[in-house]
Amino acid sequence: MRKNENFSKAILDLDRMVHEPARLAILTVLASAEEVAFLFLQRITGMSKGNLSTHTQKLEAAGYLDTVKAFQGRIPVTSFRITEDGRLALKAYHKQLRALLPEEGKR
Amino acid sequence: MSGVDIQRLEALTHNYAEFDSRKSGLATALGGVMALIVGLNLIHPIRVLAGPWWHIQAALVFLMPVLWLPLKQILFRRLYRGLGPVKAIPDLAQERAKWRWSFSIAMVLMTFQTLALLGFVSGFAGVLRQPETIRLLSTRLPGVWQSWLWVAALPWLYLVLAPWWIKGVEEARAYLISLGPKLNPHSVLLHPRRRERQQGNQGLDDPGLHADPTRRLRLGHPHDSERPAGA
Repeated sequence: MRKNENFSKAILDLDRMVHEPARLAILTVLASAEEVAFLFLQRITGMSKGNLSTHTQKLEAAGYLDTVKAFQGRIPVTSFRITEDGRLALKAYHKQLRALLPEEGKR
Repeated sequence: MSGVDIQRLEALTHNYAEFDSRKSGLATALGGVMALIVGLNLIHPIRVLAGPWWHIQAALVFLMPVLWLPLKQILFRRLYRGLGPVKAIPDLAQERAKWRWSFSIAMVLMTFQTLALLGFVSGFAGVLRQPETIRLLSTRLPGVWQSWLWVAALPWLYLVLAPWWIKGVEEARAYLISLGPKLNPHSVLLHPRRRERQQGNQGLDDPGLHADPTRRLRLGHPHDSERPAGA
């Protein structure tokens, strides 16, 4: 019973900003590169433009990513960069998950 | 968005970013074709352009590796950015390897350049020792000097953009291979027999090919070898 309580508490302690699948996908992609274009992020995560914009805005508000706006010739290109806080949050989330699911972590 | 395959996402992003930074593909194939053209041109020069334009053709052949670098960049921007730019996380080990390769290219080029300059000095000393060639110096020196400026400048031209525009070890290798044929004229200095053969057979109209300036003084006008005897 005690074990189940701890498990539930650990689940509730997970960072909700990272735990949501769309945002987890975004942070995972951003953590694998230094800077990622909006279009690439959209294609690789399979999200719609609106959905991706909403999630990136939330992550930016939480301080987990930075938006970089630049021009390539005359074409505006929006890119994203993960911040140090975002990287730490993702790392902490992975650590928490491994602790919760030790068998999954070993795979 | 349901389940997230973290490993797949990481691998795809990493691969795309690496591809983005190296700009390989068609540009590498094009570099190979360019190296082939240069190599064939040195074995059997084909004059596509006549008269003074020949010098432009020769210059284009010699500058091909340098032209390849911006061409690679243009091709990449036009063909390989379908999903927008993705910058890879800087890899220090790869960066160090790239600079090591650039340094190696620099060393190879500098060695050949030093040999070429030594050849020039020794050839010039030879001219000064022979009274019959000294009188030709004033008329021939500007031409010889022009040719030797090529020999002196080419390695710098090949080097100047390389560390910034070459993005990976594979590209550095490809660049070095494309530079290989350019060093062929300098290798004349290393093979005295070959030098004698070239002195007898080869025309002197390729800029930058003059390993020994006395050849020009002995053989006269660059196009003499093409004129019919007695003309």
